[in-house]
Amino acid sequence: MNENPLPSVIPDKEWKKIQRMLSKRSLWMIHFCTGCGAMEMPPVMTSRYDMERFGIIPMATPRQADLMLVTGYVATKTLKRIVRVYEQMQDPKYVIAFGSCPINGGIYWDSYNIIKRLDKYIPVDLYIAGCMPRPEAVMDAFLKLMKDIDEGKANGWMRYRKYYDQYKRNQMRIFKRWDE
Amino acid sequence: MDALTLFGIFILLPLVGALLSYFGRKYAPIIALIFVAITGIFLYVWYGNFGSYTVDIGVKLNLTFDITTWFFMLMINTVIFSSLLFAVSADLKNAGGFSTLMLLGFTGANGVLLSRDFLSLYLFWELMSWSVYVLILRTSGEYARRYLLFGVLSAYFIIMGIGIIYYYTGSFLYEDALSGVIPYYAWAWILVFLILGFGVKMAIIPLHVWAPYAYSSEQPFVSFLSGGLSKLGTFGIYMSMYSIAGVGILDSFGTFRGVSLLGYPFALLGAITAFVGTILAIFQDDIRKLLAYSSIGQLGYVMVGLGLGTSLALGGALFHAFNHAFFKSLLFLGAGAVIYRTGKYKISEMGGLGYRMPFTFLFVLFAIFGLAGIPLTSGFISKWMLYEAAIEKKFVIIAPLMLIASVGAFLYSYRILYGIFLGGLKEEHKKVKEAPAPMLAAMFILMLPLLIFSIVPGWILGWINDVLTNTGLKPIDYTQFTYYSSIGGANMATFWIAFMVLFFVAVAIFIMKRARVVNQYDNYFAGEAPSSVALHAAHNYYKPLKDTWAPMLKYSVDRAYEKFSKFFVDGFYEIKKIYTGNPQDYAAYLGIAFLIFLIIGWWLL
Amino acid sequence: MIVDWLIQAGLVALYLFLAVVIGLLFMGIARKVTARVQNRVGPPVYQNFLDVGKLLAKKTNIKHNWIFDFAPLFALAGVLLALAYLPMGGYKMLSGEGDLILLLYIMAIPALGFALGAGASANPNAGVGVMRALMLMLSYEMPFLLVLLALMIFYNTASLSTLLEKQMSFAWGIVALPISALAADLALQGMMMEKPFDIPIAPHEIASGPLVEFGGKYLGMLMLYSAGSIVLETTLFVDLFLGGGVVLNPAHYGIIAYVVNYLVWFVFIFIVWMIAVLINAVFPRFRIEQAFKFYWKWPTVIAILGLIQAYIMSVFMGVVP
Repeated sequence: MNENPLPSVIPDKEWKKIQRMLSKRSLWMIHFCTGCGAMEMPPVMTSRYDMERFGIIPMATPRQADLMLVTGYVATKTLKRIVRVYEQMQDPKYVIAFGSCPINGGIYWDSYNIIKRLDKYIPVDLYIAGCMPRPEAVMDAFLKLMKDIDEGKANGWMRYRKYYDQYKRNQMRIFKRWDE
Repeated sequence: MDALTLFGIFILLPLVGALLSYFGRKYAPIIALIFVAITGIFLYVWYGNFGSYTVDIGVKLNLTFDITTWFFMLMINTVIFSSLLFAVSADLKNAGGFSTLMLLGFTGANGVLLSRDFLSLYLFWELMSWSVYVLILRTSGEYARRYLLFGVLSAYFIIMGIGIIYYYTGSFLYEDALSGVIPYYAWAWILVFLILGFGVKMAIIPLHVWAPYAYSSEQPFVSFLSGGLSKLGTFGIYMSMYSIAGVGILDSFGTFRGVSLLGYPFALLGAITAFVGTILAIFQDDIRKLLAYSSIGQLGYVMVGLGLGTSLALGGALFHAFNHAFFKSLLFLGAGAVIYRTGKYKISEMGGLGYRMPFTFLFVLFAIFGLAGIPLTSGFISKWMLYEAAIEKKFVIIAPLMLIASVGAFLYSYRILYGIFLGGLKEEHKKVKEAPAPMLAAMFILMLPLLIFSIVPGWILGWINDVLTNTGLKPIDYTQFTYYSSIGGANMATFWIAFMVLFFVAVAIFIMKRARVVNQYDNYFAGEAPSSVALHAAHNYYKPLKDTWAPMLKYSVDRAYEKFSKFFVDGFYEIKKIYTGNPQDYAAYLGIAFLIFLIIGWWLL
Repeated sequence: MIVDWLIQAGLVALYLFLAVVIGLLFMGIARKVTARVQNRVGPPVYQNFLDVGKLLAKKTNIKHNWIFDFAPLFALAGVLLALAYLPMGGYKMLSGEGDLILLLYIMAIPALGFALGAGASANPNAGVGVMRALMLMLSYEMPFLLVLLALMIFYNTASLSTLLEKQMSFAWGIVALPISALAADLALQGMMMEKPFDIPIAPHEIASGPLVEFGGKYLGMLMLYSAGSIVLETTLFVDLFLGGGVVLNPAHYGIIAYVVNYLVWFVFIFIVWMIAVLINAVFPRFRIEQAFKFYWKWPTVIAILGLIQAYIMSVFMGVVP
């Protein structure tokens, strides 16, 4: 599990504009509901804000998803699941960290079992600050992500491949064992 | 060719083989295989070389080698050949005895197919029946007893039918039965007895109870029993209805839209058998029992065709019997290969073996296509003929029963595929190897006809047409690649070309991107990944369906028979109580009996 | 001869391509309509083209083993094959070369291939999903087969192209056999796995069931398959009961008839699809045994009534279309 299964260098010519356009317009999302942030998702999905306007729909499994939302604090136990879900997603894939907790620990800044910076373990493409961010902020984040994808700036998945060993080292410092 | 050559090649040669292979020890199946192959070569050489020979040994006996015999011999020969080929590497205990009994059964089958008189028919039938009994006995006495009970019942039925014919004609020859001396009400009894007698072999409900037990014996034998010998029932019913009696007699009972009123109830029984067999097969977890019930269901289809008796229906029945011989033998051999490698019978205890045994998986998959009637195999064409035969006559009870039974067939087919070959591979099966080469060869031989006759159905339909015209029935409507009923038709050449082209379209889209193979434990379990536990959802697979069917499933023919026998056992136990051992009681019985006789005598006088 | 044959093949290819395009468009329209029913804006109608494009353009794809590949290959090839045997807009396609029973069994090829590929992952959700799908199939096939039987004995043909001609000359199936049409539409809801019968792919219970391990190009091709199967199932209903949308006889009007019939057919399948979508938009989900009991109860009774009607009309009253 600790060997990078994919080539770490991606040839640039494959990364075409049309694919970026398609990825941008059809973001299928899996939301990893770790904390209170999940409560902000229903208004985003339903008729008040309706994210399906932009082609964003919730998916049941990471195999089908392009976008992962980590909604809330990340406990050390949860991190392994998040990493697993992230690795099961197919490239290109994007991560949005939701709320203050994945940024700097939030109100759990001094907790012994909470990850302070999610970015150390999986590449995060976009943060939404706030505790909690309101649905408007989430919608804005989606739009920002779409813009980033279009400009080729949302390339966390490339970072993950390139610095796979470093990410793994950080993760294994937390996990002790991978396979349980 | 004369009578002796015919007798020598098809009867004596296998008998010699049976004798020789008994001493063959480990190589017994190979010796048996050689003898079967020789018979097979003569079968190939003598195609078209048909003739009828009468031997007079006090009573007249008749051996006939015609297209009907040839057609059935072809499937029985192929099936026993592959069964023995499978047995070569199956490490059976006492392989010599096994091969001997198989060849005895084969001799019996050949005899039944060759004979055109009731005496030799009965003799060879018993030879076949008893060798099957001993073969089942090798596995379990209990299973063999159940088979024996119904085997004897079948023999009694047949003997009753024969007895009535002999009473009227004084001859055992088939052709003498049609001389007009038998009144039509006697024909009703004769036909019912013969159909029921042969129907036991085809495991028609309610005479199917032996099948799930008998089919749980050694797989090479079961493949021969289910694929080969059960076709003797088909042959017997076909001959007794359409050759011995003939359409004229059948129609004299009155007709219902061109179908004899004697045949219709049996067609209905066949449709019910197809439905019930399928439903019961869905709920089996033991692979052998599942295939046994499936076999019951599939032979129900054949019975429908035999009962309806139009050319299309009979053609469908013969074709379906042919297909069933191949795909069901293949399935039993595939199950045998899996059981040989894992030593397990329960579907839910296996899983993922398709990755370890890819060729076995492909062969079984193909057999399942045939079973489910996917048009990629000839299994579809026979089912199509049976459906159209029922629909063009507007039989609104038979047709839906058959159609829904074939949907049910998808359910248990998938249970076999998923439970055994797909899903998670268990740790203990990580080292399982592919089946030995002889087993694969045996399965490959059985797969070929299913594929070939799907592409060119005209070849086999030609033989079936010859069988029908030889029996004096109307020919079926077909060309090399197409087949028709009065309401529709299909062209297999178009189908295959279209399928190939569209499959390449799909492949072209598919190969544009490469895919990476991941570990089987790398699955989505909501982020959880139990890395050494194979989660396989095969246990009690159709539980919701079973729950909804529970009120119906509590009725069972099997248990009805058991209650029936228990009633008699209890009854005899009660009767036994009158033997008290007290002389005074016996004296009293004597007195009472005397009184009763006195009163009856008084009343009579 | 060979030129005719090539023209025929090209026309079939064109119709198949249009069918898949229409299927994707219909999926988009369904999403839009559902969104409007739920008082949302919804995605643009071409959204599903973007989705398929994205899925096929994914940088990585995973598979569990070689059996996994059966799913997209058999599903797409099978559904296109089934479409090829279906008259669309009065154009016979290959339906003269095979009848309704052949079509019924060809429709099993994609389902079986899909089930094989889904089962090939060790994910138990996939196994459970396929079990549900097969049980649902057993459920809805009961009324549907009775309906087909009613049609076949009433029109006395099993060939779809002949059925279309007879409907054109006599009366459309929905006029002659309205009860059967009702049963068929109920069965259609299960066949298309729309709510309340989306039990096999229930995303909230079993993580989209058989689809759980499919991603990237596998999912993209399966999406093309489901687009094709939408057109397949709606067209089957239209061909059986609405005369295949044939309003002008091609023998008299030539090419204009094909264009007009194609448009009418399009409107008809759109209506049939909209009925399914509108039911889908407002219903919750059955459990699988509830679906089974439902289908073997009411639609079956309705289908039997329809069969009795067809039987009486055909056998006792001697109506010969």
